[in-house]
Amino acid sequence: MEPKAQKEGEEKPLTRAEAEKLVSEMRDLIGDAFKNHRDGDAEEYLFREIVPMGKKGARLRRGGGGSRATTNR
Amino acid sequence: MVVPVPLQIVDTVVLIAALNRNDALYKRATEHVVNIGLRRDIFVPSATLLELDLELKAHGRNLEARLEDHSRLQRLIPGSRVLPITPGVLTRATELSMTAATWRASYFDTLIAATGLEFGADSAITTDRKFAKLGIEPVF
Repeated sequence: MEPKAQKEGEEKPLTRAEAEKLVSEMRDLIGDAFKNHRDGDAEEYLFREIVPMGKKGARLRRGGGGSRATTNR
Repeated sequence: MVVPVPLQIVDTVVLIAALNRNDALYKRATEHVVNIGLRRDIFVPSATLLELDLELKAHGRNLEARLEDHSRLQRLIPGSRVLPITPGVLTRATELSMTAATWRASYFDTLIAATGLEFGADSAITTDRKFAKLGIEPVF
């Protein structure tokens, strides 16, 4: 089964000029956000911000006496 | 006779360089990004897109901003050009982690390289020379 977005025209190919314009638009939107980008930023963010949130959530569920389905036994 | 065309995969650094007006390589990176939709031999691993989203989050792009970013990216990178993370990819990534991936910050690199190996790519469009250690020739 094809994903819905693909059926509705996602696959319509862009011309080179259209694609270059889109990249340029994205560059303008993003501005200087990546100015201080370093290799490994995504992984640092993942393990600093997202993984600890999951661990905290797991502790809360265990401490809160969750259902059998959600309690980590 | 049909001659198989070698596949290339795109590393996250290329997407970031194309979107970073401060990057000295942004013009060349833009060519590669534009080619994703124009050529049939260039593919984007799912791990590349996931890493890009995390990069955007890490660099302060909020939900509304990322909605704008991804709606444009969706047009640049058709679904047919994206390679999935499969159990086979994860098996290869684990093998690479056991053997070749010993440097810091290698999680996404390993997944991206494993995707390339699983789907038969012979090169990765990247400036990261470490891909050579993972069995995929880096080209840019």
